[in-house]
Order: sequence, then structure tokens, then C-alpha cells
Amino acid sequence: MSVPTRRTLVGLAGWAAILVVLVLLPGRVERGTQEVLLNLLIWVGVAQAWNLIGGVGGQLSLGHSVFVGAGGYTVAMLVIKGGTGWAAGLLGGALLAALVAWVLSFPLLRLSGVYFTIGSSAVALMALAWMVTWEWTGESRGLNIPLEAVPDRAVKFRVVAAVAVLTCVAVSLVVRSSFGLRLMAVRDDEGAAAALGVSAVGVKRWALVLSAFLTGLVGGTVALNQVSIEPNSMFGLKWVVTALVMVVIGGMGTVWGPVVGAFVVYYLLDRSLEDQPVVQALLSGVLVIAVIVAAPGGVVGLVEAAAARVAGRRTRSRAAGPTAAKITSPAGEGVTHG
Amino acid sequence: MQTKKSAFAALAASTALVLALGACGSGSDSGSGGGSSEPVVLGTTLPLTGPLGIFGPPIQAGYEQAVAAINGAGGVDVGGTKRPLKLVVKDSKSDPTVVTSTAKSLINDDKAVALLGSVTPPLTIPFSVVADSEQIPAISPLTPTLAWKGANAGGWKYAYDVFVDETEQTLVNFKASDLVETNKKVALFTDTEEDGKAMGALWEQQAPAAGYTVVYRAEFPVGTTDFSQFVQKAKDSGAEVMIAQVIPPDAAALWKQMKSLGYAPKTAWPEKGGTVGFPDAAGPLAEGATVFGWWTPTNGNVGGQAVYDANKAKFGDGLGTQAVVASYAMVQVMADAITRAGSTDPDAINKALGATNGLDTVWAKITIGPDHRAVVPATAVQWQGKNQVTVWPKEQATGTFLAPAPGLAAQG
Repeated sequence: MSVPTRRTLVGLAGWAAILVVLVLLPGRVERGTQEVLLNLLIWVGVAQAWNLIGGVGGQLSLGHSVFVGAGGYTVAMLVIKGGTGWAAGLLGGALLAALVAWVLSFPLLRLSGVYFTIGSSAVALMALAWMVTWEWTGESRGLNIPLEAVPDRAVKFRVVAAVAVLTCVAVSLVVRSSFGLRLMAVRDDEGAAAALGVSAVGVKRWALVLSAFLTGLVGGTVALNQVSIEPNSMFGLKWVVTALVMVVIGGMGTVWGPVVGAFVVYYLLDRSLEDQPVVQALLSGVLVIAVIVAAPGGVVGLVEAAAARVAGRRTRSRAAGPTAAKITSPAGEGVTHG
Repeated sequence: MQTKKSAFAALAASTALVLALGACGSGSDSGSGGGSSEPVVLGTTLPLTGPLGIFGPPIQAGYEQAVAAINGAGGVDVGGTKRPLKLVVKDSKSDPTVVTSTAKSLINDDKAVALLGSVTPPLTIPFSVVADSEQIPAISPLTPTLAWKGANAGGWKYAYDVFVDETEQTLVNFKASDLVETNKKVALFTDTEEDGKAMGALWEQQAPAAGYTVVYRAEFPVGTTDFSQFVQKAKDSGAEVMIAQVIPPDAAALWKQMKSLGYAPKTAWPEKGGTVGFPDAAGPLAEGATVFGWWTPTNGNVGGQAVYDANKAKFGDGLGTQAVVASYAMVQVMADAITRAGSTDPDAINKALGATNGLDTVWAKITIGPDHRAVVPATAVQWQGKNQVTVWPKEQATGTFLAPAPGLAAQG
């Protein structure tokens, strides 16, 4: 078995173990803790799904609230008007979000950089304006899923956990895949990637579709958790802005960045400071600026840098042994790698 | 080897996170039966910030004062033991998503045995959904009851709503407008929220029987800033009665554009948007704006005047203070239910709450019906300076109805 394959399998085993821990939690922790974890996992899912296109793909989309809303509303509509079960609704929501992303990719991917960001935010605002006036989906009144059609607390938690882990696994697999390498090549230098035969638009399109599929899936779980949904809470820019902040703070383009960012923003800032809304808003802003200026790699970047320094010191101390002494230059100059 | 280490580190980190959160989330439970001296926790999630932030402080004041009064009298009687009430307040930021998460947090983290609600269907409906799904009794004071009832076709199980009935409320606009001479033509401005849709339909439905004709209706989403085309059409229709169902920021924008386009109807009703703090948002244009009210000194309440007088310096002589009175009454209703239940068990409180019948409160006499609504009579109040004077019903009026609305009619 090749080293990359073994690494992938071990990584998947790690995520499977995390999922098992999470699936076993209901009934073993207090309801309040479970509720906090559920919301945290929803944010991990949203942030991780955005990280796929924003962090790994380098396309700063502000349109992802469309996919949260599409997923959530599809679940609600399928359950209320279609009479389907919530599981079919979740799948339908994810597929519709992916389809919407595929259609949107044609005009949006003609844009790049800041124009893509502006274009995607315009799409989000248009979708919100559409939804508050669309009578079929309840206009600004929204929809109320019957409580009897919603899974119970334990099942809901397990579904959210599975979806959050799925988003992490998806990103983890993408960054190790040849598709991921092409996506990152496009992110880092689109011209150079194109010169090597990579179809930049094609790669970005599939990344956007996959990201939207995952975001739609998470949006569906949001609807099942909220039960009562309306356009502003499902299609509002809050989703994408918060996800972006989480990914920036945690570490863009990394697998663990969105997880750490969701913990910092949702748990440490939102929940711990919920009685101090002004402090909360100020701290979020200051934190983002501080991270961008002082640690562009986010918390994960800082940890990796620290780990690399520690590993470097160990390597140097081993190299400073009797054998190393023989290969150092007469002037005693060594080569260090930061 | 390196990869295995990473996987184990990931697993260890996630387990540690789970355990850390578990430690943070653990707390003591409050005793449910009689004999315990633990406080009885009531939780509320209020719009203290955001577009509906104007409504949060008076509601909070009402809840806090009622809790203080009950605790001052020794607490609430639970199965023969007096226990203090403890109120936990969280900010919903006027966001339905936050309403859901904070209401759940009040139940799960703060161990609230019952919830107290806030205002408007977009906030009260998700709040009530949490009450039903978590099976915790919850009562809300300031949400029109038909829109609230209509949001759950299967009927609410643990949630209750005490406020006016929109059918009666929409008649108030016509009955009060009868106090002055108009051409009986009506222009409606309604947003697409639950209450905007429901009340718009009711005004159209009830106008003919009341002797009025709806000659124009504008419908728009919440957050609309440019009303000029609607205002011009309303003006062209010649309607001398103008009724709007919009949120406060939209009402202020609408009034300013009515003034700039020279539309000055005889009676002008900003309704939900003109309830609290309208003169601060619309300035002198607010003079004469009329909205429905829900309390008068002589509506059969018990002790309401004292609560009203104690708060009108802070919240104004009008609906801000009426909101304090209404919220105060919700604590009285909940405390009465807890006492009759003889326990803080949510199911027992829920059963007692549903059986509330003819309870004297500072707001009015409260009787909860089988549909979990308690309907209080609607009135009409008009902005006159910084105060809101009750102008209808005539026998409970505290001032004279000014028409045409002076703020819009004034020159310059």
C-alpha cells in the first residue's frame, strides 16, 4: 500500500472514530451540552463547506447563504407539501443546492477575484429578495415544519454530527486528491495552472457544486433544527459572513481550520459573550484583523508553525550530536529550516 | 507514523473538546416539587438589540418588576413552600434563529421551568415552537393572536399567547376613524410578515361592514426603504384613512415619504411601527399618528394603574408603558399557574396554565381558551407630543382625537 493511500485510510479512520464518539453522545451528556455541540457542528459544517471553495479553492464566495437557504427550504417544502420524510428532504435539499450552484457557476465563474465576490453577494441578496416575496414558500412568513415530521433530539444530533463529519472528510479527501491539487494550483496561480493543462473554470465549477451540495445538506439540518424558518434566517448573509470569519480565524484551506474557527467564534465569542453583544462584535472584528495581520494562516497555521519550530529544534539538537559535529563546516555554520 | 500521530491527535482533541464542553454545560438542577427552597427559574429571550430592539426594554422591565414584587411578597407558593422566582434574560437580537438557540439554552443551561415571550409573530412563533418541542410551558404577551394561532395548524401544546384578536383589532381603526369626518376611503400599507398578510386581509374583509372602502393596498417586504410610488398611488386614490402594518424603521421611512409627497390623510395609523418611540424615529411627523393599544386605566384591571404610573416616566405615557403592564401580567399568570400546579414540573404547569380562568392581573382579566389564546380588548391611542392618549373607546378615552393627523398636515 502506498504512503498516500495509507495516510488517507488512517485519516478516514480518525474521522470515523470522531463520528462514533459523537454518535454515542446523546443520552451521555446534558441536554444543554448536546445543544451547544449541535450548533457548533452546524457551524463546522457551514464553515467547512465554505472552506472548500473559499479556502482550498480561493474563490471568496459571499453567495453561500443561497445554498443554506435552498437546502433548508427544500427540506421544509418536501416535508410539508411533498409529504416525504426528512431524510429524503435532506438529500433533495443538497441536490437542489448543487443544481443551483451548477447553474450559477456559468455566469459567476466568468468573474474572478473581487468581481466574483461581488457577483456572488449580489446573487445572495437577489435570492433573499425573491424569497421574501415568493408566496409559494410563505413569503417573509416562512414555513413551519410539523413537529411530528422532525426527528427526535438524539437522531437530529446524530444527523448533524454525520453531516459535519462528512464535510470534514470531503475537504480532507479533496486536499489529498489530484482534483484538489488542480484546485489549489488554480487558486495559487490560475495562469500557470492553465498553462499546465488544468481547466480552471471546470475545476472551480465542480468545487463550487460540491461545496454547495455540502452547504445544502447543512442547511437542511438547520431547517430540521429550527422547525420554523423564514427567509432572513435562512438566506441572510449572516451564514456566509460568519463562516468566512470562522475559516479566516481557524486557518483557510486547512482541514482543521474551520473546526477550530467554529469553536472560537461560536463557542468562545458568541456563546460565552452572549450577554455582551457590543464586546462580542468588537472582539470578532479585532480578532479577524489581528489574525489577518499577525497570523494569516489562522490558529492552525500558528500551531503548525510552532510544531515545525519544535520539530526543527529536535532535529538540530540531534544534528548537534557527535556525527553532526563531523559534517558541520569548519566555521561551524549550520543550515536551519524554519 | 506521523499520520497515525495526527489521527490520534485529532481524536484526542475532539474528545477533549466534547469533555470540555460537557464540563462547561453542567449545572445544578432546580428542585421540581414543594419543599425545595431553590429559585424557580423563568427564562425569557427578548429583542434587546436589532430592528425590534425598541420593544425589549419595556418587556424586560415588566418581567423584572413582577418577579421583584412576587419575591418581595415571599416568593411563589409551590406546594405549600414559598420559593423565589429567578428571571434569566437573553438577547434574541431580533433574530428568529437566535430566538430558537437562546430559548433552548434557557431550558437546557439555565434550567428554566417556564418561558416568557416577547413580541411579533416572527419572534414568537419560533419561540413557541421551542416550547412545544422541548415541552416547556411558555407564554407571550404582545403578539397578535390569530397570526400566532395560524402558524401551527395542529394547535399549540405548550405555548400560549395573550394579546388582542386581529378581527377586533382591525375594527378599531374604522370605529375610531368614525370619531372624525372622512370620505371613508382607505389606503392600506402592509408588509408581507404574518401579521401584515393577516391584518391586511382582515381590513379588506371588514371595511365594507364598517362602512369603509379599501381603495388602495400596497404590499412590500420588511425592510423596504422607498415607499414613494406607493405613497403617490395612495394619495391619488383620495383615501382619507391610511392604515399601515409595518415594523418601526419602515414606519418612520414611510411617514417621512408621506410628508415629502404631501400625503396627509385625516387619520393615519402606523400600527406596529408606531407603537413605541415613534416620535424619536419620525420626529414631529409622529404627531397625530394613531395605533391600537391594549390597556386603559378603566379596562377592569387590578393594580395596573400603579404599575403604569411607576413606569411612565421612563417608558413614556403610552404603549411603552402598556408593554410593561402586559409583561408584568405574564409573570402573574405564570406564577398563578405554578401555584395551582403545586409543582415546577413543566407538564403540571402547562396543565394549570391552560386552565387559567378569570385571573385578575394588572393588564386585564385573563382567561386562556382551548386554543391557548387569551384575548384582551383593543383600544386606539394617538401620539400627542411625547404621550399616547387613549382616544377610543370613547368611555375609556383619556384625550380628544386630533384629525387630520397634525404631523403630516402641518405646513413646511
